[in-house]
Amino acid sequence: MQIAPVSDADPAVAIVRAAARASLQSLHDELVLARRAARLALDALPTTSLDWLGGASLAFVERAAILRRDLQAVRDPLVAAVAATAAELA
Amino acid sequence: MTTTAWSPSVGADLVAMLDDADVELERAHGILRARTVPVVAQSSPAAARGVLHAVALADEAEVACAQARARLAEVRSAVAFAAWSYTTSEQLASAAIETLGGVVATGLGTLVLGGLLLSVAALPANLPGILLAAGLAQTPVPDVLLDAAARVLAPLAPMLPDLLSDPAFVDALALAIESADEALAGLAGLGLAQPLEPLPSQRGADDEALSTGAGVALALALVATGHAPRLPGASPTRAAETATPPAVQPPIGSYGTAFERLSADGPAIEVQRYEHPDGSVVWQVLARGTESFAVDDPSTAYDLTANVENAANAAGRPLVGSAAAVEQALVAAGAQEGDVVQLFGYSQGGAAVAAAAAYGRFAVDTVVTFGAPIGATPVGDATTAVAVQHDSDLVAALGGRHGGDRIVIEASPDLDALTTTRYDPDGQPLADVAVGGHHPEAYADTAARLDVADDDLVEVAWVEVTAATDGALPTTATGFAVERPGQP
Repeated sequence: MQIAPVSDADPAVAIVRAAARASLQSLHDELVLARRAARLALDALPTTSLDWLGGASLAFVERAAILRRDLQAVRDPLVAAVAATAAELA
Repeated sequence: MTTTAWSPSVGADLVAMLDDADVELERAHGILRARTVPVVAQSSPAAARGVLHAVALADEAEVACAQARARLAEVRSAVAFAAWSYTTSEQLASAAIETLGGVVATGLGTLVLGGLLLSVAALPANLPGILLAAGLAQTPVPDVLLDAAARVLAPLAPMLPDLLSDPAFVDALALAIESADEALAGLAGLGLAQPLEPLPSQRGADDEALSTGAGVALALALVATGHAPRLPGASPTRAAETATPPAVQPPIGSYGTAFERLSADGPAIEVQRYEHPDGSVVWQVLARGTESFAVDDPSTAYDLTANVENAANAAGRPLVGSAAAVEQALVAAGAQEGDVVQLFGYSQGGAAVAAAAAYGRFAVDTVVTFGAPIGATPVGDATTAVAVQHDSDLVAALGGRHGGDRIVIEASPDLDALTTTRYDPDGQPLADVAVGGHHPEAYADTAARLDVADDDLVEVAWVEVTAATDGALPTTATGFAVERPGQP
């Protein structure tokens, strides 16, 4: 990462950089937790292929598929965001 | 193949899963809304761009999260409403069908009685009285009566092979079985004088009605085959340990494995014991299909008599038929109160394990059946029960329509596409013989399809089964034949 993990010669710069690194680390940790929750949400989403609800079954299967895409749309940017923050922290 | 399914808790199950998803989504949303704003001061331009890119992605996720939560709430409401509508309409339809079924069955019984009476005009009018008298006197059914029955049924004979696998006929049969009390009333000449049963339906009494019908059927079957009539259980069955035990097997954990084991050669009843490191025990019992379709077969009590006796089981009475043998097998193998008990059965075996779970002494955790006549058999509160059946399966229909807290999975196999590889008694292959809806080949195909159905609700039973057996090691396997020691 371009934010130096050690203090610069200028103490003020070093403090700011340390704060920047700490804030990025916090964001990274939060994104990891959000990514995990998004994955658990996807796992919890019911999958079904059988006719359980009579005429409403097909509609449910279709809406569940849309919902799955919605949740994937939450998880995908989180996966990328975690990777981006990790790269900056590395 | 199409597959329909019914679970009394399907709406609640789906809503619960959606709620679980929403809890996690809410957590993600909360984290994203309150997330840290990173500092980019004193960062290089490249580092600042990288951080801002991550922030933009987090913003995107937050917006998507809000949208997904709104959509999830919509789907949740739709599922709850659909499940309520489906359940309500199903209950209304069932009530209507049962009322109509009562009328039809009463009429059918009266019609059969009328037809028989016309055919045997020389006989006294009270046909059931004759049957009863014949039974009590332990004399054969009068030939003229059998001739009359043959004349009534003769026109149906050419149509029977197709008719017996026709889903509409099978459904009608299940309805007739459910309305057995009305049919018997009609047969007794009482139906038209009786008021219709009021709504709501009388499902709670179905097993009692079927039990009574089974008692009558057993007496008739015994008399018709030259045996002395007796009540179900009057000649008790016994589980007798086989000299050669079955192989110790890993626990069953899927529809395919369950049916593969049930349709393999082996003793009528097989008990497998599994033990966890902490000493807790899980039992898996397999009850296979009927060994003989003879009445009171001297070589096995896993026969037609036991089939009929299984239907005679009801609350508050000792177990009879092969259901009694299932319970005896568990006791003989060493099962104790508090052990986890999982039962699997096909055909007669399914009826035996369902009755043992409903009316027996052991608290049964899971019951999975294939092609079993168990519609009228109730399910205990602590039991997860799954019935796999075919809409063309006459045997499954003999148990009546399902009404309890059982997950019912009903498939429509393409019978023309399935052939049997079994052999006739002379050892000749039964090649290219289309199989009926009850045959093992059809259920093996359905079980394999269910395993890849990607349906959480279909997997409910296996989640419980495998959770109980995970980490448990197989210890012993015991086989049991079913005998009838008191049989004359």
